[in-house]
Amino acid sequence: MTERILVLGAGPGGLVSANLLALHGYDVTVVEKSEYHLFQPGMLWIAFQGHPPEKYMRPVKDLVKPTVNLVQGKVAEVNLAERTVTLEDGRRLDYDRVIIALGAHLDYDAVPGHSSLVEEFGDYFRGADYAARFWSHFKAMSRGTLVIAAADPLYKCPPAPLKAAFLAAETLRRRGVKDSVSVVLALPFIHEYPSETVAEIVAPKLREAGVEVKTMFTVDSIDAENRVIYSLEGESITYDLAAVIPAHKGPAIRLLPEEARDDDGFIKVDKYTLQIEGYDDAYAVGDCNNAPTSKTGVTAHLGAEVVVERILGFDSRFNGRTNCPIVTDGEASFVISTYDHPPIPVKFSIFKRLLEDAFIASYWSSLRDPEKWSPIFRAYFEATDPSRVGGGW
Amino acid sequence: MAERDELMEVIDKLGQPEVREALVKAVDLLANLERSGLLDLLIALTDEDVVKRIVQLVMTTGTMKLADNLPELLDKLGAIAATLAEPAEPLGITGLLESLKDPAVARGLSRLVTVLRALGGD
Amino acid sequence: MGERIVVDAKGMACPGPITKLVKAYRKAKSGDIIEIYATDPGFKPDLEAWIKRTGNELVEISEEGGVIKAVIKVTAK
Ligand SMILES: Cc1cc2nc3c(=O)[nH]c(=O)nc-3n(C[C@H](O)[C@H](O)[C@H](O)COP(=O)(O)OP(=O)(O)OC[C@H]3O[C@@H](n4cnc5c(N)ncnc54)[C@H](O)[C@@H]3O)c2cc1C
Repeated sequence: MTERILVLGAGPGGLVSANLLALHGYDVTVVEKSEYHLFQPGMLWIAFQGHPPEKYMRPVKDLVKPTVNLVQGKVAEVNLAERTVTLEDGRRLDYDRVIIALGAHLDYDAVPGHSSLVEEFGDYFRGADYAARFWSHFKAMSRGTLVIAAADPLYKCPPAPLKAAFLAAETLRRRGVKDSVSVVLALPFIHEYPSETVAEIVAPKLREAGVEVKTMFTVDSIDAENRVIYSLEGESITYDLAAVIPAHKGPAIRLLPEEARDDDGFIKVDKYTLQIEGYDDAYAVGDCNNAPTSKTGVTAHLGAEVVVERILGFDSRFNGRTNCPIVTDGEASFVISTYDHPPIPVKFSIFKRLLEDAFIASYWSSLRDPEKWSPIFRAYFEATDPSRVGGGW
Repeated sequence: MAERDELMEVIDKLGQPEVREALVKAVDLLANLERSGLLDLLIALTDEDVVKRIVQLVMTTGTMKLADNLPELLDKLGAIAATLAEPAEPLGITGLLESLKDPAVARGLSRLVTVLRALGGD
Repeated sequence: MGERIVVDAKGMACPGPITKLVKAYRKAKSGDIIEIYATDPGFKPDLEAWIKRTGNELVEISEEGGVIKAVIKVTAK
């Protein structure tokens, strides 16, 4: 009998896993709660530059290969010992292997006042509709203070708030109101970026863009009525418009046994094999696991490739590679690191911006037909491996 | 039903004059490529294995660094090319030593040594 | 009497240790003691900057066999 593989979630991690496995004759089923897949970085462009949300959404059914079964439904429980998955509507699915790729759960209740803030203004994390709501406020802003902040130092795509600040500043400048609107970027880190190497590269760019940076500011509570954000470190900022990145938790499902998760609910895996501790038939890829690397689409994609190769019998190992883009007006830089190598110095350049444009352009195709892009991505990741360009790029 | 809608969308597009014009031009372009034999070459270039080989050739640490510094490199090359049009005086050893007093020359020499180091290393 | 919270951030490259400290600090109450262990050499200056900003008390900082141990008394909450 062909092996039945269940893939939970149709983000980059789930889609790459499912579409690659389908090529090798497995009986693959994807379970996904939404009808559409959202290219999450697109929320930045929707929220801060007014791009239409449709540009960044595709029906999930168009992103899976024809031989993949797609089940529309919400996962309620995964029982690793019994090898069963139960959906919210009561359906039960059995598996021979399971790949959990449910992403991170955004917790808007962790910080008092946060849910009122996001309902009022929207943000660039919760979904395309919230990003559009944010734009409707931001595009009308002509004076005051825009605050971009985070509720916790752990969130997906570490450069996301920096990108937000750059894009916001650009829009304000184009609209000719940059002088009357101040952009305050409040970060929970010691420097402008978790890695000091990267901080030194972005700091002058932020100054150039006229972004005011406040470090060691972790949002603790929000007074949505009086428009004040308080930090855990004991400071406060008054805002006219604000977007706060929510606290990230592991997926909001019941996972048995409970020991399979860490304190924040992320699924505990071996960081090289992405196997769930204690189970050789269960994997967790992408944002939902606790691998000590950045939570990014690239990481999810590369992790999915490793899991598929391991299922095929190869001894592949994930090296924790990240490639988070930071874009300014016409240039880009990448945060490049692996488990063994902290971020290397990567200067801003036009070429990197073109590479980033190419990555974005290939996004949909690389999810549906990852096998076609693998050789290209592999060559890029090898050419830019920290051990090769360690001194900088 | 959905497929019919998608088909109608395409037909609607064909109604737009600029789409029709573009299509006619694209067909001409294809015919030209076919006559010159270039179309066969292009088709071969999109073969998966060929793509793989091209990527192996182009995506290396060296090319990544080269492409990244292309604007600065072209600037320098352009500046050097412009000096070629000017007449050059023969320069003796004393003249060489003398010109080292010019900080720009001294910096250039330091760069040359860096280049030599890169050339000699593995 | 405050509680003693022990945080193990060994083997985590930056921003690991500070991230873990912030997480522990969020849950801590005034009077609690946070005891954190880290191997990332960048942790020491980062911690000093954090102490200076938040105004909590650094009771002890020591290093042995590549492991940095810091004891913080929560006084600013
Ligand atoms: C503003 C922003 C900018 C970003 N920029 C970048 C960038 O430039 N580069 C980069 O690499 N990454 C970037 N990221 C991060 C990237 O989008 C994520 O890391 C990536 O999507 C993670 O993939 P994943 O497959 O692990 O999870 P997700 O993409 O989150 O997918 C999880 C899927 O599971 C589904 N799901 C969740 N719960 C259930 C359930 N109970 N039942 C059924 N289905 C469920 C969800 O609907 C979703 O489709 C950015 C993120 C944001 C928010």
